[in-house]
Amino acid sequence: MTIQMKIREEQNVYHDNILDIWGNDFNFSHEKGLAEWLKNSVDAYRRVGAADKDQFIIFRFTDGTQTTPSVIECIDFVGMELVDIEKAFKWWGDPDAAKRGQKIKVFGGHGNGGKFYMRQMFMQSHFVTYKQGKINVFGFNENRKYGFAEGYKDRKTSLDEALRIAGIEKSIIPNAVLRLLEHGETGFTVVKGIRPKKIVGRSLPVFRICDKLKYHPQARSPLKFSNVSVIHNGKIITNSLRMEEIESLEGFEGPFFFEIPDEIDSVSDGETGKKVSMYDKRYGKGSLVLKTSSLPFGRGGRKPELNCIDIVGEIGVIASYNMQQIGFLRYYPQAQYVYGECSCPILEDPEYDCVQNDRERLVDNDRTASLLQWIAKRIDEVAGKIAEKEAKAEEAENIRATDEFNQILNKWKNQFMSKLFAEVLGGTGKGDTTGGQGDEGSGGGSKKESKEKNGLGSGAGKGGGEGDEKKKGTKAPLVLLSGQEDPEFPGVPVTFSDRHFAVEQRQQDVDRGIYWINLEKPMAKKIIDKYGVDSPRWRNYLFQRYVDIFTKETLYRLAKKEGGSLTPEQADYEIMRVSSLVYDKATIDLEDFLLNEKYNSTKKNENESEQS
Amino acid sequence: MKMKKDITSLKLTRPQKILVTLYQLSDGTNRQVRFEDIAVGVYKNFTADFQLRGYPQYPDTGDIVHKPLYSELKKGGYVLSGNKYFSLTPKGIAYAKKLLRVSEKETVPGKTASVKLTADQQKELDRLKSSKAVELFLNGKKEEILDIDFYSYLEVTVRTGKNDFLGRLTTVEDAINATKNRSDILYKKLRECHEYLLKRFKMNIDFVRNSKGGKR
Repeated sequence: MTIQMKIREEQNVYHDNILDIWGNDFNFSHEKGLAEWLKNSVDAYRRVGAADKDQFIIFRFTDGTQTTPSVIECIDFVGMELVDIEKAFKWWGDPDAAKRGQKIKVFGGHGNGGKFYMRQMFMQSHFVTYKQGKINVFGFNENRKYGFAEGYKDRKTSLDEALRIAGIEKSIIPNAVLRLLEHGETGFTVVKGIRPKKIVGRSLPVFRICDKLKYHPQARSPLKFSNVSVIHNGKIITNSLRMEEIESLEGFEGPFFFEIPDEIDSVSDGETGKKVSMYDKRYGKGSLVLKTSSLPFGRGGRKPELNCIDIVGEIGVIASYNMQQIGFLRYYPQAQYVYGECSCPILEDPEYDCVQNDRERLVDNDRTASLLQWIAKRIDEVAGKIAEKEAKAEEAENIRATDEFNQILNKWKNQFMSKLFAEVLGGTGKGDTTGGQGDEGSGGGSKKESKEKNGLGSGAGKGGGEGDEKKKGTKAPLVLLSGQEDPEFPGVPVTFSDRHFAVEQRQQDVDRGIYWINLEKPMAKKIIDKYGVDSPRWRNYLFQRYVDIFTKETLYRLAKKEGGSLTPEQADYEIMRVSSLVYDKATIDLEDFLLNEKYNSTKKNENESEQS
Repeated sequence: MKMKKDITSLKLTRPQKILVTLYQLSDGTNRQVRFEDIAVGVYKNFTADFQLRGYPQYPDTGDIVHKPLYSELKKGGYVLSGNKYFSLTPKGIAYAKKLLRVSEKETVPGKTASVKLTADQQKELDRLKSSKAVELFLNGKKEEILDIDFYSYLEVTVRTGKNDFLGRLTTVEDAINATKNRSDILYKKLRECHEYLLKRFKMNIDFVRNSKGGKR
């Protein structure tokens, strides 16, 4: 038989040591702690219904001297009464502390952040608060015990005296606020942290702290609307501490909006099709908004801290994940351009609360892990498009760089191609465009003025034809790169597949004498990927394609000459002969181009221009 | 070359007369023959048809010989030319042989709807079967067929002259048409593939048909 008993509820009893245990979780950086103070001040303004423009908050930093410790302060002009301290501030872990029983949206969450910052990160800390003509000083001593300063509990004080006790000069108070203070229509609170921890020396790294503070996920939103000033050793550093606007990546101005489905795949049991609910009638639908930055975060002054997804709650950020923390990203390099906000109200369902005390990360459970995975996929969608654009831009750049080399080869080829065919196929001297045996050619002419004897002349010599019959010479082919525009159809790029030949001609190219080097060939891509376009391997690959073109031209011309009865022996001999002549010529003319690790085409062109 | 029949007595069209003369002059091979030799040969064989107008004792070396060689016979895929030399293709040789056997039946070039595959047609079909275009078609990847596969199917390139291109097209079509009475599934597929290729690359064929002249 079981005896029925009823337990009578009693107040929990805690040892102060529990605060040390919790406090260890608040491994504060000063920017994080200051963000907590900032949120508390903004919440104080919200409780009294102050408009954003009327919210003045001052961060005051004072370096230490030989006789005085360094001090960090946060000042607002609202103030607290004794009841606020007794019923709210003194309580640990009260999720409604920041609301003070009002139905308003506030940044404060569990009522711990600001207090723990005071308790954990300073040798001593206290706040001086003044309202309705009474001053209260409450804080933590060096033993981390809190309480009122002796003689400063609800003590009647004049404004001037209160300001003196708080160490506030009237000069730093905005005029409008000062008038309200003088009329007793508002108060003030100064939170002071004395001898901050984790700071070496007496000088406070104000710039670094503020720079990090303005990008801190917990501070970004409050800073956006309130007037936050910074004073360092009595000098105003800024009257408006807030992060700069982020310029979007061109073509990805966005923002990219994604609605969170009512159910998403569960991470823990995704393969069996288990779903996680992300929607409840009590909580609206969630959404993800992704934006881009013109520069990747972490480069060019872009703060890496911003390369994150903030999870926003009812008001303010309840967690923040940078791209490394969000989960597997296929396009991680491109995700460095992305940032955003995810609003998912169901995360704040108290029956399955996903919000942690320090609001850095969500509670790790199936819902949050599944949501993060869903977010990672959406980031990949945007980042994937950026990757596509980057690949296209890189390809265009490769074509541009390759085109420079191609022009060099085109020019080189034009100088001696017709001469070469005349040599190979017999009969020089006719025609008005082939140049014949020029007397000013740079190499290979047979006349006494030529520098090199009996080779292949490459100069556009004065000579020209000597034959009786004038015949129009063959136009040298033009070699272009796939991906470039058809010269007769600007704006229409000519592309081939990786199965097309390394050197291609379309039907319409034949009469125009155009050849295309197909950059889609796997070997071409591999060389570019592995060695880059500015490599001798790539220049050699291009040169080899010119050899292909010489060979093709030779075969067709020979076949024409032979009347369609070209034998393998003839073809074999002529192919070998042409390639031999081309390589011999290239050895003289293109040594730098083909063999040197670096080739400066600009310098080369300049030299050639000077010579001409 | 000695002919089984008296070549001059054959009832042939003018291009057929040139073809059999070329067959005769090349000893039934693909050996090249000079244009002038053909003009004289065809004059000797068929004097009434190929004499110079008003001068029956002289051969006509103008369009009367020139045109069929460069146009009809090339487009039909019977001859190849270059530098004023002409040679018979395998199809041309087979057709000339046939003319010499069955010329009395008034055969017209290109209209050879024979039931039995000739050796050159069989050779052509074997080549087609091993082409990339046919391979892709048979493997259900017809969308992947490229223009270069089509050219290879016809055994031409973009630089092939107009009449040579059209000649190759005729030769392939003749070989394909010759399989029409065959129930072999492979031939059926080959015919389907051919139809598909003609449709798919109609623009490329039209480009050649509409181009000027025979030389490229």
